[in-house]
Amino acid sequence: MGSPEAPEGQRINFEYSETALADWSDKLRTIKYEGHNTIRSHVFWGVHEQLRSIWDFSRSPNLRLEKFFSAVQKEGLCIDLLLGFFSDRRTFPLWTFETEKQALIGGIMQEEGNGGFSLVEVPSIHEKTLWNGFLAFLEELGSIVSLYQFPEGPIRNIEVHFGMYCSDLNALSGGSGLEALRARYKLVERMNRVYQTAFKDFDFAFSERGMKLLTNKRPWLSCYDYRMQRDQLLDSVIERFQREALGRIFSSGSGISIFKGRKKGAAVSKCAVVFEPVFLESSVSGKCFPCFPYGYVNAPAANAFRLWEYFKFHCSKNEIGLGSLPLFEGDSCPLNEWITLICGPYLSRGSFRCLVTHLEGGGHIFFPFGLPKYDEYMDCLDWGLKANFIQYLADFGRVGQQKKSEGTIWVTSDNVGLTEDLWERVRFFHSTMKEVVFGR
Amino acid sequence: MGEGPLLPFNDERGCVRKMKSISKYFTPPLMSGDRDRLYECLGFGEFSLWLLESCDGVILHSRKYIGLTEEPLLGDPRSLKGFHHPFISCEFLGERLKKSPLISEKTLWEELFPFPISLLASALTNKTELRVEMTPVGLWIDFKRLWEVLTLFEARLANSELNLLWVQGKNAGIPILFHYVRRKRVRLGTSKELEETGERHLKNSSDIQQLTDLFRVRTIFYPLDLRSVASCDGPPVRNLTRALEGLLQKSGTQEVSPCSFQELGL
Repeated sequence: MGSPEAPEGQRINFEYSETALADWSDKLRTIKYEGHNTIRSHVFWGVHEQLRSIWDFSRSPNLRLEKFFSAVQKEGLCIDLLLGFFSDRRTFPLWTFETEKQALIGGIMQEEGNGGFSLVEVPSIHEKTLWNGFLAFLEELGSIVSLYQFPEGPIRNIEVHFGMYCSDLNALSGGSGLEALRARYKLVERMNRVYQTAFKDFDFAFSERGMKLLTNKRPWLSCYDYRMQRDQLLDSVIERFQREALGRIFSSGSGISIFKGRKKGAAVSKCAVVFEPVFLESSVSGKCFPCFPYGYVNAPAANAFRLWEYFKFHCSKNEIGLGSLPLFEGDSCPLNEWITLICGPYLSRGSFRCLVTHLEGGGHIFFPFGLPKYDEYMDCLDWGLKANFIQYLADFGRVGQQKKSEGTIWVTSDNVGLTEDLWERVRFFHSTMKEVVFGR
Repeated sequence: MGEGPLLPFNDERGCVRKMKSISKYFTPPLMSGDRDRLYECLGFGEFSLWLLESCDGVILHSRKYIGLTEEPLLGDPRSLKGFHHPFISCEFLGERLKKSPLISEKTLWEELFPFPISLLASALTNKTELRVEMTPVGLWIDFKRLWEVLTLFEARLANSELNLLWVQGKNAGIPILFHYVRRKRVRLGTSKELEETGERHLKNSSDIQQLTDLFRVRTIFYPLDLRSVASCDGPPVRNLTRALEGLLQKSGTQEVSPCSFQELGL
């Protein structure tokens, strides 16, 4: 089900709740005159529900939704309506902050953050009262929206966003389901063997205190496990939403999409510098944040984040794409012909398969920090390489090369190190490699 | 004149209450782009600063700022040879990052200044979860003085429901509208309409009463002209402090004389 999306250039944001009612028609007319045909508008739950279960869709002048939809229709425009959970204070009604379960969202919240590191507490999607309250709000909203959906009305698409909870650092607290972790390890003894710990059950192992110990022991693996379980929890929330609400609340006239906030793999195909993703959380605003479960800082994630920021700056200056590999198996990911892969000794199976496919297709990979050796099961990664690399001398040290399938793997022989001239050294290694392969 | 939406604010007892805003001065809040413009108008366009954020001995952020451009670094900048630049160190005390509520009160300093200058509010208000330090000491003393003057200025702003601060920098200006209720800051912001309104009404008229008529409530106008202090030799912090002190002395409790607009070239 879906209505066609307007091309990017013809869509523009317009927040009716931030604009005086008297100005709507003028502003919409201007938008139309400037060549746009679709507006994107947020319906902020927190703005329409100031008091619990009392919804304002007609009392406050600039919240009169029907008037807004009529004004849009009158100007011959369409609307993409954005609902759900955004990195914005207007998302949540005040009463939801009194609920027990809180999510911890890292990074910079739009309009709130002044930059720097912070963890913002917001009501958790796993809190029953919040969930029921949100559905009740949607029911009320749906009764209005359904009158203005395409083709009779201007609402062409409805987007429901859950992406903020993609980077919740508190997702496993308070006994949230651990099915994915139980399925992965089967027995707590197996988990203890991998982590070198002595937990009696999964619940305590992945509690706040347990997670701190797991992260101290095996930071990469603990972040992988945390993200895997959180991802599964969010998937189950979205499935529940589709089952309980979607078809019932909104009619099929408009296109309805659910956004989980995960980056699309297609974008990575233009990236020449690619990161192993376990330590890097992506916020919906596009910013990156290190994976610090429950807010506990761990050095490897902090280092990965600093590297990300460093490469992002230099890649942007040099117009080079920067991206990250998929984490889990099943996510497809076409890659650029030449990639520099920033990673440590661990690589998930999902990421590994992506790289193998890339090499089989004639791609080239440079590992400036050494070849990763282990996956999430602590099994050795089988690169199928011979013992000896052909060595080349670059300006900053030696780099070894081996053919693999139709492509090549390049690995530095000496430790690259995290110094401020890292970018220059990586670039010179890169030009050495390209000279060898292409003779220029 | 219509009514705006209900806005939450904290009253004197810290309880969250709601008030209606008047749509005529329903300006959007100060966004990061506005704050950047303001930063340049305030004379910090070339101001350089290094920053290190850390927690539990782990470096989180290391950056070099020149005005609004920032360059990430990999290590502690103090380890660079001959390092002697203005530097802010922010350390999260404990093993975890600071948790903040989504809706929280910000000081005027945090509203007006972009990161990392906004961080200094934590040191100046003695927040215990962060340790923020600045070097050299002279610069830190300058910032402390600016904080004191800004606090006095806010006390002045709080006397009136609406205040329009026009910040005139070397190359451009920006208006900021402040809204206070019972001496508590409710909102501050700017908008294109505010700029146009200000220029339209004030360029063609020397009657400051027009502002009060426009907003239907007593409005005080504060022209902050940084050009008059820009020629003085000193860092932008001191220039801004001097300009604010001058403004406080000139304005008193009276509305500013209309001839100030002519001085601004409006």
